[in-house]
Amino acid sequence: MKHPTPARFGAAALAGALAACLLAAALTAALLGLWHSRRQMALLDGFCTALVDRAPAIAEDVYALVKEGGYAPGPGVLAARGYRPAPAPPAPLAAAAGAGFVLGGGLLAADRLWQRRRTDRALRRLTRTLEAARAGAPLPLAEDPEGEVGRLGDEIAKTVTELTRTRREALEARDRFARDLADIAHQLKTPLTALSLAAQGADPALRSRMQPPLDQLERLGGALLLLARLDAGALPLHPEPADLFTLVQMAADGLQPLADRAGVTLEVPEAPPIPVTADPDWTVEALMNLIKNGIEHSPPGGAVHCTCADGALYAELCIRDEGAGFAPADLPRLFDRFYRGAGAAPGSTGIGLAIARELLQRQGAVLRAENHPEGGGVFRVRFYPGFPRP
Amino acid sequence: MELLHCTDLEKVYGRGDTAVRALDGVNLQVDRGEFVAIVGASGSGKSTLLHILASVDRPTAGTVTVDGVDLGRLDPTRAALFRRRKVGLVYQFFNLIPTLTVEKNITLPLRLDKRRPDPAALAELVGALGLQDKLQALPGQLSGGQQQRVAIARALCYRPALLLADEPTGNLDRRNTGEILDLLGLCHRSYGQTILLVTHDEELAAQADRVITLSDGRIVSDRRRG
Repeated sequence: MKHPTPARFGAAALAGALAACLLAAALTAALLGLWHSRRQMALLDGFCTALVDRAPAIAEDVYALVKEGGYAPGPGVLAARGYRPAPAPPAPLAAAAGAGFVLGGGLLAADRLWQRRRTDRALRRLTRTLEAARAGAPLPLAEDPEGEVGRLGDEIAKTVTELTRTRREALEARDRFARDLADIAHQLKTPLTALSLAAQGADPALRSRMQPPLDQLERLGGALLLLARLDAGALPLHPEPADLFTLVQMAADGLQPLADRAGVTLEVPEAPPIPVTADPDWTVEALMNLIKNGIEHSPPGGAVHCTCADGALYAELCIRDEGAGFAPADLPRLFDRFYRGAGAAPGSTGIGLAIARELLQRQGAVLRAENHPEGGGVFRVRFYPGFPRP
Repeated sequence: MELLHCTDLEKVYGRGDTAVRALDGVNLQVDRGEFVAIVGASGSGKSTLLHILASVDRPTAGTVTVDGVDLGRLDPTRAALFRRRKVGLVYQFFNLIPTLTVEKNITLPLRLDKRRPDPAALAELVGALGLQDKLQALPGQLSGGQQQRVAIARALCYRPALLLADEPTGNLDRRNTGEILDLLGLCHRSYGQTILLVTHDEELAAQADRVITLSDGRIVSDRRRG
């Protein structure tokens, strides 16, 4: 059997309802009419009986009047004397009417309530569909009623499908870009490695001139590639439960050779385990950039202090050097890309701090720089556990 | 995607010779997800601008559109609804209700709309702001920094399109100031929240991505951080 379309279904229901109402009204009218005739007859008969009873003399006149008929309904002598019809309908009728009102009203209210519930349920279903779509979860099955809500459901389903498709395309484009970047990185490495090897085979004078720029090229290439991957969103970070103190130790260990060459001590005071959620490799990379900056700005014989602390709201790591501190003009722009302050080490790329900030912020941590009251510059890294990753 | 658009905004107090032009032709555009700081000296018009954006005050000329709503066309009822649902406000003096618990203060905007707060969303917000142990405390029992965190939670519980903060750290010591700024920055990054921060402190403003300077009711500079 073909399903009626929503518009025709509405019209058919309306016609049916109208027909039922008209039939009920007709039946009621017919029954009322019947009852009315009988009542009128009973009233007349009762009155005539009482009249004949009281005044037997005029009995014949009464019968003659009834037999003749032909008298127009009032108002007549009774009305003239001030009689009026009873204001309320007789009890059975009133009861029937009352019952009808209550029943009809109740049915109407129940129907309205039921429709409202149905619409509410459908709307809630649609809301859940949208929430699921936003969260990327599988969509619940759509089984919407016909009518306005059904059309809304259709449009929502189409919009969600379109959104999912757009998102997927964007992700695929991003992944393609990431693969291209990796390719370029490999291609850059090859000639650089060849040059490095050639430099090592050259005479010492030539080598000492070639090696530093080659090293810088290699660092720059690596940093640029990292930034590009971060920008493209092609650097997946995998945060996991870690210990902040351990991460700091790993970063310090990684920089020990550099610290030794610069004559700077790396001081990492003992601390109890401090739980943070962080990607270990990239966090260590970020911390190394910060500590390296500290080493570069500390005088020989000085120290870089890396102190961890756990608090109620966040876990904090302070990296303090014993140098001259940050120039006030540099502070607002310290973490900008390619920004090199007045006291920057020769050959620095100006990207190390920018990378550190990017890596840390991606994990929901906060990085600030300030001057320590006792001298030297301080990097504060704060991990706020309560916030979701950006 | 544009969130906020002001065109030739003017606000004049008083008349004739004693008229004060708090805003004198402000044109401003803010996209979704921006963290903007508005700086200026006292009397530069920055608080006036904030109040107009929050639909607490109306401009004398010009138009303001926030999230597609023309604020100039709102009657008081609609304006109140707009304030409750589309805008989160954080003030210098916290403005918490002293007789309500922290939890009730935070969920007040929802309750005023006769809605139930979603337990999971509320728990996440409360956890992010470190208030999970303080839900049944009264504001009087909290420190300044904690009270401001409650105010921020309240401002965010409706996930408003726009978070407006008027000198949020003006009443806090240095350490709490740093925390509140961290939290605002995290709201911006983690939730993609659009934030407008009004302050007279240039150092605080430097935390934002974009700094707009007001002077004598006009925008004199609009710098983005490199």
